[in-house]
Amino acid sequence: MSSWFGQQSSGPDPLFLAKTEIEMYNDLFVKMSSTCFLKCRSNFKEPDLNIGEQSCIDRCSSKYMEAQEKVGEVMKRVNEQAEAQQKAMQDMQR
Amino acid sequence: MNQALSQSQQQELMRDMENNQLKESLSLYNRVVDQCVRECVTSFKSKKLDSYEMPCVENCSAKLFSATARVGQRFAEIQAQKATQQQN
Repeated sequence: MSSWFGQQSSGPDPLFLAKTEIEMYNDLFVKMSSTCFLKCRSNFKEPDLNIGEQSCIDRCSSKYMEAQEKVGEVMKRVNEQAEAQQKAMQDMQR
Repeated sequence: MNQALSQSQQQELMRDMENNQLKESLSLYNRVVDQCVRECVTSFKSKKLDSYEMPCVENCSAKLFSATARVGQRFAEIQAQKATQQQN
């Protein structure tokens, strides 16, 4: 997770960072469950997941985590660009 | 929002705002992932994102980050306008 935070002038409390990371993963899990259920449920005729729904959920989870990785890369790129822009503006003002 | 805050209260507020920025950033991240998976992932024949879904997720997330930033700019502008209007 340290790659998320980059350079910090006055480091935030490490306990806060650890708690925030846990909250983030919990949130990710909740959203993933909700979305994969939405995408995979086919009927409500019975209480158990059928074979199709089960493998759908396996694949959905896998795809979701892959997407999470990809979006992480995009976000990192976006943040770096924003930082570079800010720096350029500050340099211009001097 | 006009109450005067003491020095220590102001510092606490600043620290809170910094912490919230971090949380908000991670929260945005999760929202983008979820939103783009919902929009882009349509088939479940394999465990990997296929050749349509991968670029879709990439573009969707880039757009969503840009849109969020742009809304932020407009939001700040409108807030600033309101503040100057109140002063006049």
